[in-house]
Amino acid sequence: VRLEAASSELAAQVNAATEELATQNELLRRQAIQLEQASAAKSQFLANMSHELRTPLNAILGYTNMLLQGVNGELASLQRRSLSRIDSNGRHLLEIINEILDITRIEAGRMPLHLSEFRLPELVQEVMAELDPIITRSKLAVSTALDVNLPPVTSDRQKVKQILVNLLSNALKFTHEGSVRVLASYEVAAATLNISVTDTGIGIDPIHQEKIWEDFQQVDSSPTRAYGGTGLGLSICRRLAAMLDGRISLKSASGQGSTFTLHLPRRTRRT
Amino acid sequence: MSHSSRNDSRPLVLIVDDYEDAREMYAEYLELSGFRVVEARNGLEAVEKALALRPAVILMDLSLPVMDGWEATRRLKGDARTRSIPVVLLTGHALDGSSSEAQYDAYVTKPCLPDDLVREVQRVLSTVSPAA
Repeated sequence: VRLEAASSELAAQVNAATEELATQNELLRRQAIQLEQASAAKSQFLANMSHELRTPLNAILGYTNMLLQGVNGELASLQRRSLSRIDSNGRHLLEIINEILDITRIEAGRMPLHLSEFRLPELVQEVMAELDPIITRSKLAVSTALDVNLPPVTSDRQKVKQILVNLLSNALKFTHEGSVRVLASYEVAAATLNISVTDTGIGIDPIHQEKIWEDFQQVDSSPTRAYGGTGLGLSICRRLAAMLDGRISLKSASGQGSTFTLHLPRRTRRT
Repeated sequence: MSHSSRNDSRPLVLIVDDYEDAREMYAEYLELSGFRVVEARNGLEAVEKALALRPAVILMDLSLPVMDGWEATRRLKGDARTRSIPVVLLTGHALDGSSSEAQYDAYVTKPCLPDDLVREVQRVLSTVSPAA
């Protein structure tokens, strides 16, 4: 009889525990849905906001440019300087807005992949051409060395280009003298292309090497920092590389220059 | 413009945008660059003015009141009288290739500086009539 009583008590306990577990599960499920909805609402809000901010910015940049062109008459040099500052700050603001929009779209899963087959050398040429004005101004020795056996790549061309433009412009920005080299090679066993940008710039101390991939972070993110930029570039690159089934690695030490390498699979799979 | 005459040979541009500051900015710069300009504030007005004036090119913002830019472009491209007029879409977002909601001839992403827009208009016009 005692055994029977103990057994039914145990059964009751198990039932109660199971019920409790089911309640908790339901609660968690609801919370997960709520979190997802809140995250989607946040992304939508940011996407709308970016759009709303660009409309007035279009008129600010446009009119500033027209004034700088002298459409309303010649400018005194102080007027020209003030307008140039409105122009460069407006462009900087636009860059921030565009980068926030990029991150929002990636996070919301609304950054579409456009896969195509292309060759890396042509792409690297385009990247070099795009940054040519900065390269010329920098007075750095900028070179490319691409392996001759690079296979064609199936990936999102525009995104690979965005990553490389970002890595190269970072290298140019943080290097005051010496060189910047772009290398590309193919790793047959891993079916991976490695495209690296090596500079002789200020380098990154190992203790800061995690931080630089985070949103709005630079090694020095203080208001008095020496280098411009939003601190969003690398966090976007990291996300874009992940979308392409690739990743970006970093080898650097303070004062020893940096090497950022994009490891890109030869074929990105459509998900 | 005061010096426009009845048989003015300068190409006519129809600019469609509900945001006055942007519309007038582009209009002013287009006129400085040697074009005649008419303005429309929404898609319906755009279709009506295109039919009445037969511009050489239409610059079409997409998010418009009354009738949006996609619908206006669809109507223009579906009408034999306006089908051949090139339409350049002005968009706040980059269009991905799959946006086949309507036929169009080119698009520019805003923000777009006035001189970049004029260059695009000139490029589109030169592909339509190589003599221009």
